Amino acid sequence: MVKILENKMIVPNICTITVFAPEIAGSVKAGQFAILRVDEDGERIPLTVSDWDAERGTITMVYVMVGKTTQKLATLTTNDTLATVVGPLGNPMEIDLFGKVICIGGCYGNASIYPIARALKEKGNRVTSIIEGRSSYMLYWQEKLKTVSDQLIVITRDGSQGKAGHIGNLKSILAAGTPPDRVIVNGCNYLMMRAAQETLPFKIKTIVSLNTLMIDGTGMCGVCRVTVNSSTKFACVDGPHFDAHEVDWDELAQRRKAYLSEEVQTLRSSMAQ
Amino acid sequence: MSLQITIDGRSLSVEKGQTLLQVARENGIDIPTLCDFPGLPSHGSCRMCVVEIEGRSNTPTACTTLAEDGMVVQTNSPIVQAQRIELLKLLLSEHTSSCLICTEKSHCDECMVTLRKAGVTTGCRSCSMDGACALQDLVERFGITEIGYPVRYRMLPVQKQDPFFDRDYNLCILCERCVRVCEENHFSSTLTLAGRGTDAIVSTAFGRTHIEAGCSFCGACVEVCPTGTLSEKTRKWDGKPEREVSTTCPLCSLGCQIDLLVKNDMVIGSLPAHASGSDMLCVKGRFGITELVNHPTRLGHPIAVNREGSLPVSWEQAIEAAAEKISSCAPGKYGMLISADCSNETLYVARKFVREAARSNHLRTSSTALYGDGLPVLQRLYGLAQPLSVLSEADIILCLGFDGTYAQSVVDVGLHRAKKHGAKLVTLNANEHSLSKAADEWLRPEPGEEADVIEMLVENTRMGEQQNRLSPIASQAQRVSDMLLKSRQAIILLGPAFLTHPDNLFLLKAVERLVAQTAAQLIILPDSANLAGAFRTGIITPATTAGLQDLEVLHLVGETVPPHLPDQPFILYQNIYPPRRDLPAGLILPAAAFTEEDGTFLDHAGRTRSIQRAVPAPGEALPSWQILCRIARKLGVAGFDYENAAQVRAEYETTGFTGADFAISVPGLLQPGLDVFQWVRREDHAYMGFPLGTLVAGFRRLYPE
Ligand code: SF4
Ligand code: SF4
Ligand code: FES
Ligand code: FES
Repeated sequence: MVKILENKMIVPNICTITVFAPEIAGSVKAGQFAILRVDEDGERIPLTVSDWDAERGTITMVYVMVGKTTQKLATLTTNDTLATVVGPLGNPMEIDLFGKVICIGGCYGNASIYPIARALKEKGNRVTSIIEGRSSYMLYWQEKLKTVSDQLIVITRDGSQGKAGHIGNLKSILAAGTPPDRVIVNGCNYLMMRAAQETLPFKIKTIVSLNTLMIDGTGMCGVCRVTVNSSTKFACVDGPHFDAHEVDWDELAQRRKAYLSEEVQTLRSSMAQ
Repeated sequence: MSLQITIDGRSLSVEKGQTLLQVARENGIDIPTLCDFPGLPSHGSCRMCVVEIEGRSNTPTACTTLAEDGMVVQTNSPIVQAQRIELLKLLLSEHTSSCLICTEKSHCDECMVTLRKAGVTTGCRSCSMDGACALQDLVERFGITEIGYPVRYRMLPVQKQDPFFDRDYNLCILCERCVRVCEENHFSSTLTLAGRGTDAIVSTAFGRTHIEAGCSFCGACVEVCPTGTLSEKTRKWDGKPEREVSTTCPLCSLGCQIDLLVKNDMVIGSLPAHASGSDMLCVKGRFGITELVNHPTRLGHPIAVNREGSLPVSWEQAIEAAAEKISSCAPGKYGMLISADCSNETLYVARKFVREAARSNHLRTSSTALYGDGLPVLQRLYGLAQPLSVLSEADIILCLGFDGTYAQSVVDVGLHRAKKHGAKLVTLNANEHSLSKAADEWLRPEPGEEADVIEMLVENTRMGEQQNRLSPIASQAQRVSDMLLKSRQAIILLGPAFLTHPDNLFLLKAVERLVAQTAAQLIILPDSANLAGAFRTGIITPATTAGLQDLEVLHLVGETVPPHLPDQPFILYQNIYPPRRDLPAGLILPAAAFTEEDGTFLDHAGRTRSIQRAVPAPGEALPSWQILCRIARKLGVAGFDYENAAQVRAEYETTGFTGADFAISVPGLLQPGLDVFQWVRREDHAYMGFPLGTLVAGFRRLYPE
């Protein structure tokens, strides 16, 4: 049983949850994730650990309500418990002195990119963070990101804050000024794939953190299979960070949809919540 | 008197009293609208329909402006177009509009599959109305690519605590279609506009839940909402239906006409069939059907059950085994129980099957127990039954045991409408119910004393005007009797609760006399969908030659397994859901639901209503009558070669039934302890023997066990 310290919707459909998990808080590194279960017989969902406090023993994760389990998770409040939280899982993000790094986050990635930017900054990199959302009211953690970035660029679909449009803006950002030595992207498949397309002509090393379906998160089930550079990898143990220019994006999108009808089936209920 | 006006250069002659919008619509001139909805009073709030009128400096709204002789109107001038665009942009600035103007929206459609399941809508791609939204249409029509105003999200919590539909007022455009449809067409005041200015929002009074606010869950508001604000819980992820199939709701005897919404060969929703004149449904037909017919437990394959366990078998094997059991059964040891939820075609074939294929007299339905002792009177009364539409002829309506809080709320609306047109409403009910407040007189006896009050009415109307009644209810009954005697046309409406009342024999006899004395028209509203069909086919008879004890084969068609079988017969279980308890030994034969077969019902007034096959049945499931035909053919019995439901119907319609074949009196049949029908609960809301609450999650909230 893991105690929830805080669980709330911060922007429409996106929630943060902070739980008491001292072991994870004491050892987690930027880019690692945890797998949690709402109840004993519940679905297992992988969430990136987006912030932690080793002293207080707490970890914070951000999730999007996109199905039965996440919607159920959202109904819990302070002092409720989760059945299990297992972590840290996956490899940490490679952190080194690269020079100039652009960190891009969309959706839950506004948060999951934060510890990565922080670690890079601590290493002495020049960090530009780009966050992206549908509208100004979909953005969050801007202040936190500012503290670990030399520059924060905001893109909104409707132009209500920062640049108008989508990740297509990346081209003009890359073209202006000195090109970065590395780009790191966290967000939906679409954002990561499109960012990779934009950096390819510039030949900039681009790392993405894949959010495949997962069950065990320890390399046993194979649900998280991805094709990278023509060979099969398990996102949970070989990743989740991969070279974006080597990922088979079409296959990834297909596999993401594999259980869509089952996922919808569980939501098809007239029950009051 | 007709007027002459000019719209967009066309000279039109117009009836006095028409609005400019009505005139334009009738003449094929397309004025954009948002808050207007056909059949609802004009509201004039969205200002999408502004027009220019020669000689006026302002731009009035076409939906609220009456045509006047000589008017010259422009519906499409640059001025009004510009106004509409600005107004729309303002609306969009308070809506989750980013997808509407996003440059990548076409890719997004393909890529963001998982977002469709979002718990809170943040844009069109995660909205239940994507593709059917009035805002999307207008943005397209006006070619809007930017909003130009500061955007705002209201950050209101999405209301999910009611069953059947969610409410996300972050998406609301305040057109108040929902408020108006609830108030005007459904005589309910569940919804209102709360707050002022920029904080104004549609809500229930005092922010109560819909259940607390007295909502009947008719779903009218959900249907008229032009945005994704009100969304059906079970249909959020399906998008637009591919086709619609008109059919009949089988969840009570009203026989409401519904349009099934179908996508990927699945029923994803049901709406009133407006084209057939049905303007509303109650919660059962509106929100119950998708979960009912798509229930994950639906049977798709025959299964053989014995002491060792259960084994899937082919239809061939199942039919052979069934035929084998029936043919080796001793005479009179086969019995069939069949639900009055079955179509006429199934009831008819079943009757023929029992007699000619199984050579037995034991054919019964659980309705026999449900309607108990009152059945013979009920059957007589059915000869007088009138359709609901006669309500409009009444000047007094006496409702006996009717409650339209949720189920049959359609009738409630009809009663309110009649009252609005001057009819007096009298209700007899021991408990709080949907007419408690609306009725002119509420006769409220102690529970169990309902029949006495009817008896008073019978006496009073027989004796003529009387004086001085002792008890309050007696003097009230006197008043009502006087009203009945003075009335031009009285209507007596018999609700489900009285039909299945423990005292129904007495009650119904009293009603029979009251009808005769007051020349009232009678409306009978049982919950069983095809009770009239069951009467006509002689399936329902008050008694039979024996109980169902000592059977070797018990054939259940659309009925559940009785819990205390006096012995252990072989059970042929034919239904759309698996049995609720284990069978000792038998065969499970998967049947089609009403959305998967053609057929007919007889409604509360004995009119034929048809059901249409809209989707394929799961797996190998077959219409019930076809299963019976296959067994009969296997038994080598002639006369079961129908190719389709129409052929069955043709034969059924030319056959006269008396019911007497099966009606031989053994009064002991319904005595406690003796009869397998003891398990029948007075459970009104059921389909094929299964209480709706066990199948439709939202029902458990409306009708807690
Ligand atoms: S469901 Fe019907 S009764 Fe309830 S608020 Fe909507 S229109 Fe009114
Ligand atoms: S909920 Fe829908 S119908 Fe009601 S005011 Fe808002 S947009 Fe209009
Ligand atoms: S999640 Fe099971 S192998 Fe990766
Ligand atoms: S349609 Fe006329 S003001 Fe809305």
